Amino acid sequence: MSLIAALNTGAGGLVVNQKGIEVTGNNVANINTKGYSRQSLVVSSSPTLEFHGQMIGTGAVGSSVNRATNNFLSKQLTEKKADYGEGHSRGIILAELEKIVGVSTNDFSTDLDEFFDSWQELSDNPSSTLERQQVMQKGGEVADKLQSMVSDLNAVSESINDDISGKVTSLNQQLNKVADLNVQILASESTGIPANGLRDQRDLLLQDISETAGVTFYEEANGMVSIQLKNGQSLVTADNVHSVSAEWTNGTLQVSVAGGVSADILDADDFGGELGGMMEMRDEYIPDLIDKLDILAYNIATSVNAVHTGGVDQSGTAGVDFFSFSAGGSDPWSGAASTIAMALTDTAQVAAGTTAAPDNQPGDNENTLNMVALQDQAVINGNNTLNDYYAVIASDVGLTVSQNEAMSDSIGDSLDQIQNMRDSVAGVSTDEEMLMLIQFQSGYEAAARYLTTVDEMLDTLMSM
Amino acid sequence: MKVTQMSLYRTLQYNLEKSSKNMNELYLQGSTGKKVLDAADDPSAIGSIFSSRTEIATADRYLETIADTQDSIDIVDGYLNSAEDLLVRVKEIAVTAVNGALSPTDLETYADEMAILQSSLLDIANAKVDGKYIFSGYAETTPAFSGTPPTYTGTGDHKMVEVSRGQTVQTSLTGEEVFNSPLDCFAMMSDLEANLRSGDTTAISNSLDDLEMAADQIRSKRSEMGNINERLEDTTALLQNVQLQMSGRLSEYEDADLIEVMTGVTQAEQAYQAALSVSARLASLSILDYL
Repeated sequence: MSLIAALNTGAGGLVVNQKGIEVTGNNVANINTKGYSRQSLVVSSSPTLEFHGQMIGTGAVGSSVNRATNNFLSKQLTEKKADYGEGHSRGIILAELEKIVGVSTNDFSTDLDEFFDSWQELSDNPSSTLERQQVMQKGGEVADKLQSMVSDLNAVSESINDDISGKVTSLNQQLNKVADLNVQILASESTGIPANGLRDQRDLLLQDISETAGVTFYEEANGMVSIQLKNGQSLVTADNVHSVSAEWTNGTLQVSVAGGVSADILDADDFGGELGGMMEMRDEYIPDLIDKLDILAYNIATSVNAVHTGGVDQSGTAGVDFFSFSAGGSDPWSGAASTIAMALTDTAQVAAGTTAAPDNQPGDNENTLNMVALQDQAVINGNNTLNDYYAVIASDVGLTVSQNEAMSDSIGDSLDQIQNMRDSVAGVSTDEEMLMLIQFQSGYEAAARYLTTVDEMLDTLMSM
Repeated sequence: MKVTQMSLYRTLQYNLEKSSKNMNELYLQGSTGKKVLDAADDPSAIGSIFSSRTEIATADRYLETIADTQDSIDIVDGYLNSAEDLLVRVKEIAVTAVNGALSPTDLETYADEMAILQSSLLDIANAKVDGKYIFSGYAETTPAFSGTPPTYTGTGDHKMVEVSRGQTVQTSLTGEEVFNSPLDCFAMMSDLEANLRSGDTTAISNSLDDLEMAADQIRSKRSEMGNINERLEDTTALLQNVQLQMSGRLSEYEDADLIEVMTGVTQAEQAYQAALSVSARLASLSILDYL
């Protein structure tokens, strides 16, 4: 090998080590970049050449810049993100529901207690206008509370709808971006250049999409990623996007995939992630809760009415319905809670007695005792008193909340764990990078020293 | 396993978040004094909390009802006491008329007194409390007795109120059972008045037994109410006991154990402090210091 060729070998060493420092510098710069995967320079030795029967290497070249990644962990991470999104979105909604179906002394159960208490008070003084007024007012409060619970629940559904619209919009943007990245990655990698940064971006997007919609995805042989919903409906294939649409139809926000295989309305079964959690709450949990309140309202109204119409009012005529409601539809009680109202307009209408005209008397309190007895009767399904049933509803919500919290906590733990594991493979460690820096630096110094040596040798040669 | 700066800080942040959440919960328990603020805090306790609250509220109401009932029983008792005294005087007059040789003028005077006594008894029977006739049964706006001779115009109902779960007591007497049946006090007194005016001492002497029985009739009703009153005393004690127990039960389910909370707060604060000081130390430990 000639000394000139030896100079080239030295130059190669300088270039490779300098490149190494550049890659390390890039890693250090991205130490806090979300989704960044650590890159490393792949160095290989230059082809060996034959000199006078001896094989001699010609230095080193940086052949490519690789990206540290682990498919298993990225997949796990993406799946956990879906679970996390679902638990998180449910948690926010459930916290709201828990306040609506509350258990404090300002909540429904106290109203119901006070209603029966007012009848008890009336029994002591059945002709008093004040106590009759009290009965009507407390009855009104019971009805109002039921109505406001339902309207609050509906308001929660409304805000879920707003949230769904927003999520769908950003989901579509993300899907389009993935399709764009698919194209860019293919273009870049088909020319042999690894698209490291683009892949990082796409992985991060996939995590976000999974958190939003709980999708499944897989990478094609050409490096493009396909995304599908849980039900198999395709969202992205290569550069094709089937965007999700959320449209108001008949007063409900319906989510479907435009131009998809099926234009069916999608529900909680088709989505995971935040959208899945929100749809489950909106389509299953809240309607179920309202149904239970309907049952409660229906039973309050019918049982109180039965006792009330069994008595007589102050003028001795048979009592009218104490509560009014309009219900019907799938079940006889459907809609009862949202329409229940106290129906009396005059204190004289309160049916405290049982003896009809003309023998009716102002001091007759027999019906108030019947009404008070209602408080302890298992009027709902023969199992629950009215207040028990509300306790069942409230504790059921509480149970769901605490279960969801426990689940979210454990998902949070494992998500944290997986993220740390992913970082241990693909993350940037300062220590490691600093050592790499020293390594490349000393490599560079060595190559430079080599060049100096060759240079001195050339000088020696020239001065001969 | 390689530990990167990002994962270190992530774990730290996650743990800080958890311990501050824990601490916040304890602060909330400490400041409200309650461990069950939402159903999720203890879903299985909700039923018991509600039923305890109902029990306490109804016991309150029962106690109030009992106090009212005892008041009205006392009032009834007062009137019956006067009625009894009045009948004693009636009997005195009758006995004097039978025993002593009284002049027709004296008899006439006694007859006049008898008329006054009868109208006093009518006043007692038509006593009003709070604008309501107390001896009229359910007909509280109608005088118990009216007309000459006075006849009962109320109803035969007793006002019943609930004083504890499923237990009702009578809080009133009807004028009929007190003054009219089986012995009609008013008729007896008008007969006596007529006999005094006519000087028919034999008839007066015959009526002495009835007069005694009439006083007994009132006395027995009085003691009936007295018994109810006594029972109410017992019920009050019982209810106060129930209330105490229920408050204890409610507190057991709902209230935070402050000692436990304070211990928890101390623990949580220490853990939080430890986590914070570790975070602070992290930044000071760097390879860059050694290069």
